[in-house]
Amino acid sequence: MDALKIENLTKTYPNFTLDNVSFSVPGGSVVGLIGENGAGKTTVLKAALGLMKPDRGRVEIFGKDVTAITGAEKSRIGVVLDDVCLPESVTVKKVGNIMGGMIAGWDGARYAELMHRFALPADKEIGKLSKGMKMKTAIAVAMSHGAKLLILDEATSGLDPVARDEILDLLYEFVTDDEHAVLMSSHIVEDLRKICDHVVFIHGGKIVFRKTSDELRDGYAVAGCSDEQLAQLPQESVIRVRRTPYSLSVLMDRSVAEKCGLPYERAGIEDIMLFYIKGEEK
Amino acid sequence: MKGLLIKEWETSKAIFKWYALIAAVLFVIGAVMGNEGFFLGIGIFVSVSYPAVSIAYDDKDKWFKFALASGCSPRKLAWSKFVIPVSACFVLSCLSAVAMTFIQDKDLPWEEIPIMFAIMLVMLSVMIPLYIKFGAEHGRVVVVIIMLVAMIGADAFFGSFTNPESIGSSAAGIALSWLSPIAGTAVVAGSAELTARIIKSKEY
Repeated sequence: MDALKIENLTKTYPNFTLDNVSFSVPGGSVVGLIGENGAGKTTVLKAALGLMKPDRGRVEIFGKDVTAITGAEKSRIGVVLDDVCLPESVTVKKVGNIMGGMIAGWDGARYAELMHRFALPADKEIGKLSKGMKMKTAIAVAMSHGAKLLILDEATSGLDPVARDEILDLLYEFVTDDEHAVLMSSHIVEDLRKICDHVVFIHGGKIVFRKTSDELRDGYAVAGCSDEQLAQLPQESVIRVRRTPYSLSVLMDRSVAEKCGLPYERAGIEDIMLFYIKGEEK
Repeated sequence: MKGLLIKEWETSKAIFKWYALIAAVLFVIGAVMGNEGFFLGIGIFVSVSYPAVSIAYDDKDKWFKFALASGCSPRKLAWSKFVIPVSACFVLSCLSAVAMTFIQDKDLPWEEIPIMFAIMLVMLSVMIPLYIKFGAEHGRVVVVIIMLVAMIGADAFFGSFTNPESIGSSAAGIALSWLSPIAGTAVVAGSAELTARIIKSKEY
């Protein structure tokens, strides 16, 4: 069963429209949601958490409509928001006391374990922590109540590489079976490359693609070519073109790039994003 | 609910130290001057300013967003904003009764105490949904106006009950004294439900 399913999600704001977004997070998988600032990632996550009422569409969590989920059922979702959103005048330890009285299934021992693992100072107020430490506290909270689905909005943002590696290890441990899943939005494509099974790219409020990590790794190439060579390439193999005053580069199907003998490099997630955002169609 | 109340207490206990200091000063002034209006003043001050401070912290921390995402119901969130200030107003009312014993040479109507408590409850019931709806920043101007009107009105109301017609010597006054806390509690309950609806209707 899909842990999360979003169908035809649409929401219109004065200056932005989330347009017909559909994707799912299968059990046992990590799905990365990528996009530039203002693309609609946070809006999608808000809809998934029931914090926003869409104009159209449906969100299901573990097969149940998100609007019908009870508080106890919602405790199966671990949440890390980009603003952290923990009370800043409370100490790290007391956050555990608060959550213990608020979230069903709270595991104080697990929270204490994660506090120790992340070297969080128990008696320091949240407001006095660095951004990275605040985020670690939020992650510790999200993983301390037996959640089956983690929804993370820029959760590794502000963390040093060692801490990010720690978090990714935890996420690996988390999705050991089909009952657990993760949806994470991030700008740090390296993290997505390391851990995600699927990547959903959103741009301008629309889904551009939903691909597996293998498809992304093996399916795309960035090739340099001339206008004449570009004209000879099969239309369907050229995804995007980027022109500068001195060069022309193409995001294309890797197998076609090999056959045509063009000099190319494998396209990473970041390359693909840049071509979609800054490039143009052939 | 327990966790929400722990959070409310932990984030507001520093404020209550200042309230205790202000209350002590106003109680002493009221006792020395023989004017119980000061007792009501601190109650109105707390019932108006506490929600502003508490909700300002929530706005800054974006706490409601996290609490709702984590499974707290809008109703529990709403009621959690009332429990501590209602308790504080009850304590202030009891302390007012104690302070009244220190006012010399004046027969004071003890029946004023429940009416004071009811006024505080009504003020809270107006303030909390206002602040939740408009936010601590935008709600401030409206709140200042309401507070001034309430303090002037309450002073005039109690002034009309000075001797020879005191609250305690008229049947209407005694009935008002008994019924006002019940009515105040009902207003709080209605306001909490309204607040829950406001929380539910907002996007975070």
